[in-house]
Amino acid sequence: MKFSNNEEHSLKKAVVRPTALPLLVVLWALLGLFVLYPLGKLIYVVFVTDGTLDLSSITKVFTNWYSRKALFDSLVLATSVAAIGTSVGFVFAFGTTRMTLPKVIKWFIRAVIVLPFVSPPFTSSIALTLVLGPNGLLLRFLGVPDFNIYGFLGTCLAEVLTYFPIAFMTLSAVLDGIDPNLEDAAMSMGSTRWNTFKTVTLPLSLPGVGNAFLLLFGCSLADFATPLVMAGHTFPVLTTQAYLQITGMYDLKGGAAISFVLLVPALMVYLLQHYWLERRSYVTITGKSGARSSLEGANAIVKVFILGFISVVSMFIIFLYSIIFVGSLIKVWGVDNSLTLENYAYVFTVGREAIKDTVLIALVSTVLGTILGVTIGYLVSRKDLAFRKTLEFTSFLNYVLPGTVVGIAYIIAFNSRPLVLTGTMTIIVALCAFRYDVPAIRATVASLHQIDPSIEEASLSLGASRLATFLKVTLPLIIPAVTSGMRYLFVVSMTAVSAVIFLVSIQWSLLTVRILECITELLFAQAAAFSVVLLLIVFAALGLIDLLFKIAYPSYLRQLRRS
Amino acid sequence: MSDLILLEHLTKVFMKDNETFKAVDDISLNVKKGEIVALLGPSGCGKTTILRMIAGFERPTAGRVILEGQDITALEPNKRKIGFVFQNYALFPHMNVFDNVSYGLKIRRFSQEEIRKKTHEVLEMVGLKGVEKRFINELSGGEQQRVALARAFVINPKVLLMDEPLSNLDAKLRIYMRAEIRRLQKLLGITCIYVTHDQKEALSIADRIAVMNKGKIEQVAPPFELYTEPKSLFVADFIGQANIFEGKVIAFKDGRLEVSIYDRVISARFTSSSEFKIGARVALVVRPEAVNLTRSDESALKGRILSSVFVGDRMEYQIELEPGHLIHAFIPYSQETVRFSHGEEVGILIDPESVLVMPF
Repeated sequence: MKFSNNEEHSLKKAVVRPTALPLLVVLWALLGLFVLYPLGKLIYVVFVTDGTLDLSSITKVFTNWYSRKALFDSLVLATSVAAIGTSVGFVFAFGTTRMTLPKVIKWFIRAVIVLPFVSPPFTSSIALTLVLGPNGLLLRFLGVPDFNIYGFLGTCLAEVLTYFPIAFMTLSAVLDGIDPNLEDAAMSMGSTRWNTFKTVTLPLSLPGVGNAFLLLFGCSLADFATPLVMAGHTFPVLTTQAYLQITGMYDLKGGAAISFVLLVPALMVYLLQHYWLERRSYVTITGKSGARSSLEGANAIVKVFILGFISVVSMFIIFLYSIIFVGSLIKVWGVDNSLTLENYAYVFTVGREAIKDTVLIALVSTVLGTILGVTIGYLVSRKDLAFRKTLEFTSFLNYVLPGTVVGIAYIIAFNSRPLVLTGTMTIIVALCAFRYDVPAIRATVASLHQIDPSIEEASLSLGASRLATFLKVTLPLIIPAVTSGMRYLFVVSMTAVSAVIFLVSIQWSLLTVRILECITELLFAQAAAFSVVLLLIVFAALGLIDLLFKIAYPSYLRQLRRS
Repeated sequence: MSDLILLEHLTKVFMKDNETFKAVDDISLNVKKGEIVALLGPSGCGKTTILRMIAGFERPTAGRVILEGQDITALEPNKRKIGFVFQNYALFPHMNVFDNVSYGLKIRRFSQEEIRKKTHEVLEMVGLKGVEKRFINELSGGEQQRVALARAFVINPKVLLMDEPLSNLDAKLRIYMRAEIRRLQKLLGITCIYVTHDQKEALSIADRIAVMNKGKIEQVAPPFELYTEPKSLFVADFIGQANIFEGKVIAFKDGRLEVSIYDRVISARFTSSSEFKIGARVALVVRPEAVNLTRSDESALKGRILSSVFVGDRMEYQIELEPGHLIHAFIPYSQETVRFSHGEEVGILIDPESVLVMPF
């Protein structure tokens, strides 16, 4: 039956889910225009001069000592961040999945996951500067005012604090997915806790560790905001160099070449992760594994250490975020510590336009990106679609590539004819929608995959047409995916900087770019105030999205939450 | 009664890794109005595929599906007026019980009043009054099963197809629901095709059973006939339990066959459809409940008790006739039943009327 079932499964989908050819044509045209065309143009500009092949701009990256150092620094930084971040994430994941934690610590951990996700990329940098930078709070407290945070140390620290929650979430899913009976079996055969960890838990979670490492490596490699604030001149990295090449020296070709050098490792990381690691995962999530045994995963002493570590790291992160809030209410950090609301006044006068623009762009991007993501996800989950894999890969490209690469590709592509879009809102929205729709695509594919084909068949056999079945049965069932995709789109459209920084103009400015301007002008208090306002808008919007769906699908969502 | 559904030379070929696989192989079957026909067979025999072709979820590679004299082979599933009860129920998780059951009525644009009335009627009929507002994951397995039935009944389908509808229920509930489905089917006079791999389920629920093997129908017959007059060794072995021995035809006598088995001669009956020659190798089928044991010397066959198991209503014995050759005997249990112990030599009595000869 196994044999015929597989067949039936794929055939069933072919029967039930409709496709419209015009839709596919429009979609490919859009992907061609906003994904393939800019990338093609980028590669063209890097490799072709006056119509002939010319490798000089690439070789220049490798011969110029400063850009060579940038490449080296980028790789060192990415490796360090990945190694440290994965380790910290593993300790957190092990603590949450294998130990009973006090409520306070659980609350800490939740904050630690949510805060880096919803805040703009400069937040940890600003906070670290306020705490450990010149006139830093902690430095004065410790009595070492000469300490220099800028460079490798500061960048690495800020990135680890920003990205380790990704490793934590990946690894806790992996550790949770390991059948608890396996560990119990090892213990019942006489293995100690440490031995069980060494011989069962760790080997089984290795593919997950590899995955987390690659994820963080990619994040760090692509990070633009943190090194821009924290790295300084002694520690150049590729993303900032590409940016400075273009905005500082007006050398579009040189910047494009650097970003191309960045593109190669980034794409390799993605392919490695996608095609190699995905196949090596031992963990199958069947939902049928037995109850997690009530045994603690480590003895009392180790537990104290792990809990201590989790608490210290979490409290430090929460401390950093509260510093942002406090800093936004203070006149001049470390010089004049009197309380004031001037910074907020600054935000709402000087930054008013930026707030309006950012919210508008994020809203439009969210709506369009959601539609795009759900459509692509729906098409990609049809097994019989021609060029299905190609469609999936193409739609993922802008997301997989570092923002700097995509941003530079966009200015190269849309700065000249046939399609001049620079300086418009369209170009920023297109970038956000075609880049940040990927989680919506993934969520849609995943939730469509979970729908048993027989549910759609039931609707058909009850007399509903295919279209009616899609609207009344399939669509409502993927609503949770739609909301999660929407949340991501909104948050990231609000907080993104690496790609859009190339696309802002006098007409359309963004909050994140404003924050960056404040930082470069050393207006840290104003930067902090901007960050707080941005955070509040994000939280308000997330609440609004939830509320919207609660009104639209009241009982169903309540139901989902309960189950 | 006239044929409501007619399957003509239905064939389904699947492709798998560039190899073809005949899931359903040239099947013809008729189902009369108001009848329950069970498709019974081991996993992978093609019974579900047949059901899916009747429903329209699967296109036949060859052959036709005729409903009320009309060829519906190429008709869309939503135009067929055929109800389907799925193995996993396939209830809509985002709707409550009422919305699930009334879904088909809403699609058919019945008036609000009618939808309410019909839905409540059918819910009362399946014993689900009062849970209209509940969501699917708040129901027990048995309740979900009833919702699935109600949802299929309410649109008054011409035929109701059921794909292993009871396989997700526990043993006791399964037996109860068996009777319940039978009751509702007779009450509504609904025509039904019922797929199962559980022979007891098929025997207790169906008017006729089609036994399937490897994509083909081996035999179609009412339960009693299927049990007493199996037409093939597969059917004899699949329905109930059977001792199967190899023997040789010695003679015809009074419309019966004399067959030699273990150097003894046994008189046995045969079904009219098969032909035998003197000297041919044949299979003898003996139901375990037709075997009796004795301590007296009168019997022709002798053996030694290998195991005895008490299962409540009967004793199940395994007797060794010769090394490596076993016979099973089920003896109904009562206070007076003689019990034999392990290793004991016993005489074996076989009711000649229940020995059936078949070609190998």
